[in-house]
Amino acid sequence: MILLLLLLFAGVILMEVPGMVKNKMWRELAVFFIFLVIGMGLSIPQVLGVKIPNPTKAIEAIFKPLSDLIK
Amino acid sequence: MKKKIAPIIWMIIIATILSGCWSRKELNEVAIVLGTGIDLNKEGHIRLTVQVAVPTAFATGEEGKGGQKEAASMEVSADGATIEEAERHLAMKIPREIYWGHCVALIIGENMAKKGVRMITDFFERDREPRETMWVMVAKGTAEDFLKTSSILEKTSSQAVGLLTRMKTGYSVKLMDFTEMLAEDGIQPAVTGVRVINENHVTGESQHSGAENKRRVEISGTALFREDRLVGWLEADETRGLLWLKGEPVEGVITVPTPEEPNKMVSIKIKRGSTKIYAGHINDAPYFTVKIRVEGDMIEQQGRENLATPERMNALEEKMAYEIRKRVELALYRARNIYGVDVFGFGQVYHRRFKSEWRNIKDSWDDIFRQAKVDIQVEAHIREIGLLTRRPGTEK
Amino acid sequence: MLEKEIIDDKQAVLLIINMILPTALLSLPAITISIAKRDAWISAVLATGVGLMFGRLVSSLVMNFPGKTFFEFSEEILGRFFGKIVGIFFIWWLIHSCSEIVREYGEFLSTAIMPDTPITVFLVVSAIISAYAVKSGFEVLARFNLLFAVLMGVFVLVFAISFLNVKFTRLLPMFDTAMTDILKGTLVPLSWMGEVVVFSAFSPVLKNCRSVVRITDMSILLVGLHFFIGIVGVLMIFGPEVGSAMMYPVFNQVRMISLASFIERLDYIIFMSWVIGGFIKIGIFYFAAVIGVSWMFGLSDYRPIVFPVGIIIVALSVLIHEGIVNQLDFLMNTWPFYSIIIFETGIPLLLWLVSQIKNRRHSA
Repeated sequence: MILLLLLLFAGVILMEVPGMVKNKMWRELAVFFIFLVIGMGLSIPQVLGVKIPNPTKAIEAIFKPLSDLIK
Repeated sequence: MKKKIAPIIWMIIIATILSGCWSRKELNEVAIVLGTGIDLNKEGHIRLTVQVAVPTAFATGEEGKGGQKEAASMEVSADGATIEEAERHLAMKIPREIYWGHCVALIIGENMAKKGVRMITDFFERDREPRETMWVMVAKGTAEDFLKTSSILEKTSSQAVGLLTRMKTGYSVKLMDFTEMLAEDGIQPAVTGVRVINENHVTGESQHSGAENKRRVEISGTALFREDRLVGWLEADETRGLLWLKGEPVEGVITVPTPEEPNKMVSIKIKRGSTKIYAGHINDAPYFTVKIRVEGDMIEQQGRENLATPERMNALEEKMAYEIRKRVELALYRARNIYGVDVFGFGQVYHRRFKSEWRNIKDSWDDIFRQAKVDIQVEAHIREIGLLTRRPGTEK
Repeated sequence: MLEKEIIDDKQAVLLIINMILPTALLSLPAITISIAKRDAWISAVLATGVGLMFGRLVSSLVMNFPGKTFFEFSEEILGRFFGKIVGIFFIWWLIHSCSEIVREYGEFLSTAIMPDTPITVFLVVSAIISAYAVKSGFEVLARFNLLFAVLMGVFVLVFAISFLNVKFTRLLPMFDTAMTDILKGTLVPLSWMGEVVVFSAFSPVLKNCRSVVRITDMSILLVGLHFFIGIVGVLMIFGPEVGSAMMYPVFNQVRMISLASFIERLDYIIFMSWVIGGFIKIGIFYFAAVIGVSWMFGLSDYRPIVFPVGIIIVALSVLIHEGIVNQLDFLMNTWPFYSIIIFETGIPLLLWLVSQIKNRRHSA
């Protein structure tokens, strides 16, 4: 599973990076890696079974009381 | 170089993805369930019986040609605390994967129905394979016995019963309608009853064949429920009354005595009918008016009198209306006064008209309904009389 | 960013419809009926009325800033700093809703159609296909959307056949539910209608900016009509009790079809058009998110970041809910407030007010 995921990341990098380097799109390259790292940070722990905080829990904590209020 | 590698990679990916489905089920790997029966066994567990199609018997076309008759279905039973558990136990007896998608009928044994059906219907609604449109029936006796009885005309008893139900001779109910009747207020469920009958007394021919062939399946009355428990039965005539009251299309024949010759009969085939129920109040008590309109064709006459006059037609129509009213009253009496259940949905009619009053009385509806006055008005018309105006050679 | 890519009014209407409808037809009827019971269709009608106002809000913003995306005009209205903050929130919302949609589709496919396939497969595959569509450009999405219009015709036909099972009496008595419940029931359809705000993220693709009011009105009305038909159909076929207990009642409704014991089992046709519609919906939200990100960092081309954003979407779609129960609860009790209050009315209203005040000052 983790191997597949790493393979996927490698594939994405191989597909996108050479073109960007050739066209000297450094800004794009930087953003690309920022988002790729965020994606890695979200996906690799899940595959490894490490618990990471769930953003919807925070949203629920704020907005669910509203729904309870009008119930 | 890159141009050469890319297609190869794509080929490998596509070949692995397109080679097959994840959870495919080939026809020779599944056991197709045609009918399901559920009984209560002695320990109080669920006994699940499935009628499974035997594919080779369906493939041979005309059966009985080569002398020996191959059974088109086989029936297997297993016990379990829930349906799914029983299905797992079944899996040990059937070497194939059970497929529910073609199940025509869900037959509930009498004892199971008395214990409560809510605990068994869930599986068939929750699982994605069984269809919402399968027929629900209650067997007099056990469902297992019913399924194991083969039908002569149809290859399996499930198919036989599915066809019979589609003929609308009984009050046929689909699974989803049954679920709705169980869930909604103001109506109690009623479903077709089925049973196995022995035909030992018929002609000599059937005595040659084995004991199995003397038994066949038939639709028999209607099972009445309070909440999810079976409380009683309606007979065939009363079932007609139920159908009229529910506004279900009634197909069938009404036989009434000829106006002038009471021992000779006239048969009228029902063409179309409609039922309207109106709710009202008399002294703050619910009151219902049932208006039934029916049209039919005269099919057969035994007597000699000339019926093709407006006066006699009117008399005949009145007799027809009386006959229908009698059945409706019979059904109403049996369900309401003997078993005390509102299987007709009068409560829903009342709810539609008086929504605020309904909220106060809906919990004690069965008692209130028992006191309610129901006025039944039937209007009958005879439209066609066939190819004869009067019987040839009789009175003018 | 969006130069050269232009769509006409009809395509825009279809696009907005498919931006809202596909997931709505899956889970909206059951959720609305479970709140507003027999009168859920009244909720749908009310939601359409309010939804029209949402549409007007969005279209007036688009009209005031022709040729600019949501992100660009929010920066112009609120200034560089606050504009970016609003942008970040909006991008988060887009990515989050996209993963909700991906998850909803995955759950549908794995509960109703292919139970043995791990849900991750659906999540990944749908994201890859949408990523491909997004990478190919906006016009491809819009053209693909036209194909869906054809499928929609089939869908309507099948839907019409399923209406043979209806009983009108199941809708009676009207107004049986308390008015407060009917109003509560409008929130869920409304949160779907409000998704029209996503359209402002790529409004420059419109050929004619003047017609945007007509476009949003038309699409909201059509979406409302679909909501209405969907809810009424479920109510008239299953009744409120059974209909609200179902996970995907419209799917069951189509499974009930049996025309002359001959035309049966049409559920896979519906399933097919649903999946294609789902890809379009995912694609649109995905596209808007990517546009937002590339605006954020001032990129000259959005294509390189398509895949990284897609990976985030898939990873989030796995992360956000433990199971379908959590998701249903979230969609019913949290999502309407969260998205209506902040993203579908809050931010657009804020932008509109500030721009009005600024205009006054300019002219004064």
